[in-house]
Amino acid sequence: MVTIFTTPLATPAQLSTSPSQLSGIPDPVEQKLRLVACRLIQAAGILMELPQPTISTAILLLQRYYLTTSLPSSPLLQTCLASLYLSSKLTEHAQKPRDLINILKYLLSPASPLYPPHLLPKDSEETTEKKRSNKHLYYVSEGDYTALKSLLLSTEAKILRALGFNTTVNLPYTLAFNYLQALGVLSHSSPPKSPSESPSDPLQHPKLVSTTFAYLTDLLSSPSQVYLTHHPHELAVAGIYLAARDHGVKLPERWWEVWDVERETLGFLVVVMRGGTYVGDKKVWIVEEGVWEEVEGGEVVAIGAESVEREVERLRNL
Amino acid sequence: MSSKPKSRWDTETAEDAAEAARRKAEKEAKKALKLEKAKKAEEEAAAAAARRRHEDEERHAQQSLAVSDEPPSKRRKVSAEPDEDAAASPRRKKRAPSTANGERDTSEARLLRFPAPEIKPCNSVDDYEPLNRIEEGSYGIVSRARHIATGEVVALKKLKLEGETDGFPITSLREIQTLMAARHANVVNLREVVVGERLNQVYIVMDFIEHDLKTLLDDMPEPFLQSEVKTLMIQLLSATATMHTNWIMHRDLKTSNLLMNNRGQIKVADFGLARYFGDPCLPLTQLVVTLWYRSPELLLGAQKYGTAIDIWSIGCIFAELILKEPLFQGKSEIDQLSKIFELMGVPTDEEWPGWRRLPNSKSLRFPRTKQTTGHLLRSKFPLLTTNGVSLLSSLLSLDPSKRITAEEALKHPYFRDDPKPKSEAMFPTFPSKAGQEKRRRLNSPSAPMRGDAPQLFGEVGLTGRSGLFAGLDEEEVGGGFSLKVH
Ligand SMILES: Nc1ncnc2c1ncn2[C@@H]1O[C@H](COP(=O)(O)OP(=O)(O)OP(=O)(O)O)[C@@H](O)[C@H]1O
Ligand SMILES: [Mg+2]
Repeated sequence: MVTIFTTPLATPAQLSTSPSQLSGIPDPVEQKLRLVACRLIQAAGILMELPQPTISTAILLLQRYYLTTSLPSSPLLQTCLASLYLSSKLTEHAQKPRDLINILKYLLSPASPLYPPHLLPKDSEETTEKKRSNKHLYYVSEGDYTALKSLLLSTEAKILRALGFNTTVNLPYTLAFNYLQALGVLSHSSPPKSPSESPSDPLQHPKLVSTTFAYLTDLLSSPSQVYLTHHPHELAVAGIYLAARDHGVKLPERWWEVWDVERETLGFLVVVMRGGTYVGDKKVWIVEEGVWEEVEGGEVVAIGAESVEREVERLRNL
Repeated sequence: MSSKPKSRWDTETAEDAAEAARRKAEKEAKKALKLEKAKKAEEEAAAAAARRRHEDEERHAQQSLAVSDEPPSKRRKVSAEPDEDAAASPRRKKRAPSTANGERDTSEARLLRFPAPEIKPCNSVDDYEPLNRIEEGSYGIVSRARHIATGEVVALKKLKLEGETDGFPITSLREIQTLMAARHANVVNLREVVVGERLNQVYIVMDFIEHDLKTLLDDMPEPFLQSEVKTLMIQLLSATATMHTNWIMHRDLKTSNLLMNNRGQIKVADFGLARYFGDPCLPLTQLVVTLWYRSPELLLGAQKYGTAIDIWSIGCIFAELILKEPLFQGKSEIDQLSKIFELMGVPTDEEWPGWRRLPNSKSLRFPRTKQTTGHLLRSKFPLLTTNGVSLLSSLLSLDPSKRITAEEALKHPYFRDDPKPKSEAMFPTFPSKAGQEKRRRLNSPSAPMRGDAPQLFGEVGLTGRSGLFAGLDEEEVGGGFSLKVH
């Protein structure tokens, strides 16, 4: 049984005014940077074959950290690196700083699928694929590596201090799985004797788990940051609710009450989950330094401290 | 079947049958869950009450904030059933509306209203005034200190972080994480983690506990009474049961890591080797647990082990509480194993299937004679009741899979026999050594060193036969009982 009561939660005051906003970063800029951080961490985690709990933990550590620390005082790249590094240790999947740095630098290079295609060099005849596969595009020099590693390590210490060393992250995945089992909607939970007695539809229900998990993972990058305000069992119930609806699986009346989730809480979470991410379906391209701009079908976010500063300045002068 | 499989919700009749079955299952699940939750909540309530001086009202507000921001029209969408469940409606009406601080009047709702821990930065170590050093352990320095704001006396353990090149050590992360998660009346209370100006100055702040059991046993003119031993064992077992249900292995239970206050309570401390374990278990380092408390499977090099290693240590502690000295005082790993087999007997293949396939068994030759353990244990503990000996031998079962669990041990008849466990309030008090000076420590082996503990990049186990029995090619003699090493 997962200890659900020990998850540290944000206070309303912490959520309404962030340190970044206090230091002059407008809310939309902060939200976009947070979203980009989620994308980077998720992508890096997948490339490194880290389990989703390790990735999710990194994202949540980063979100909690920015509740007490401003973006200018802890720029995004080093914070992504440190969050992943820390979560890999906390979840017993420790990674080397070297590997993390290589992957993150790759993800920010022109070789990366996250890099805006219109910024790729235009002159050559090569296809986009070819351009992206060029190895020297993401080569990390020894000097860069040393500098980034020391930033990674000092940011790790800063994160731990900012969180009061409470790194407890209780994710909703296992709970959601247990709840689905308890609801008896997973296939094979009790083998049917005849078709009419079939307690579940085995062709339909296996997807229930993956859809539930997908909702829960999507929710990590939601601008509402409900992982910071809600208990894991509440998130789990909301994920199941939507997944069951998607697959047309009928659940018992008021089943969420078994897990002490208020209908109002569930309603709120369902609305948030359906709301999607801040940018909707638009594509977000990521570069390290550059210009924030709207381009066809998406937008470019430049995460480097100077680029962020320039964007903030531009918005101020609008 | 010619038709494609239908959902059980498709036909009325199928639905009825399934419905009945489901309701029954649901009811049972609900009951079990409620019980589990109530128990959990009780534990949490006790822990929360003990550790929080002032309630933070703000945090109560956050949930209701989420609720009250939600327009009623959106709430309706949630309803899975078009018409309100008639039976449930009155209950809901009885419920007080959410107030500003999120309080509800049903006890059911209240279960979840414990304030969650806050997300907030570390306080400074300067909030504390140093009093005196208590002890320098292998991983840190422990001092007595006073919290300046409240005047409370606490223990501060400074983590050894010098010379770390890979950031915050995973062992220290585990120590803090597991100590935070293992809230229990018999686990030392972690108050907070504070920091100094330099990044490597990190301190764990705990309640100050007057004694440690090791020093106490050394200094006591008379051993603990049977009634006292029972109380201490119940405390130790229930703390361990809580750790184990929370997926935490302590991995260094021994009398010097058990603190004792003047109110007859022991507190498990030193989570320096503790970690979470998974199910199924992964290969872990065998270099855990101080030699004298180390289980035979660890000594034999098992790479997969579980909570049973803590239970073995508890068996050794049980014996030590009675004998006033450690049960198996081996001089080396092999000597330790000899001493264990000498008292408990060499296991047969029936008693412990597969033990000869453990990595280190292959290099050892064991005497053929099978010893009868009950007889030896009984004569070593002449004053222990039959049930006491039975509990001890279940804790010291050689086969880890047959070793009793902490939960089971708590239900052992030994604890119901006369003399009954002594109430904590009736415990004698002892003068505190830590209050004035460094604790005197008699020679005893210490926990495996940091270098041996799990490393940052994957677990470092023993490769081949290095370490454990290396360099021992002659016969090692342990108390008239010998093992040949090959
Ligand atoms: N909360 C406390 N109150 C009083 N004394 C304490 C407290 N915590 C620890 N001590 C004392 O400090 C000693 C060392 O603490 P601890 O075991 O946590 O550190 P360690 O470095 O892991 O030690 P070792 O390696 O010797 O086991 C304990 O044996 C005990 O005497
Ligand atoms: Mg110790």
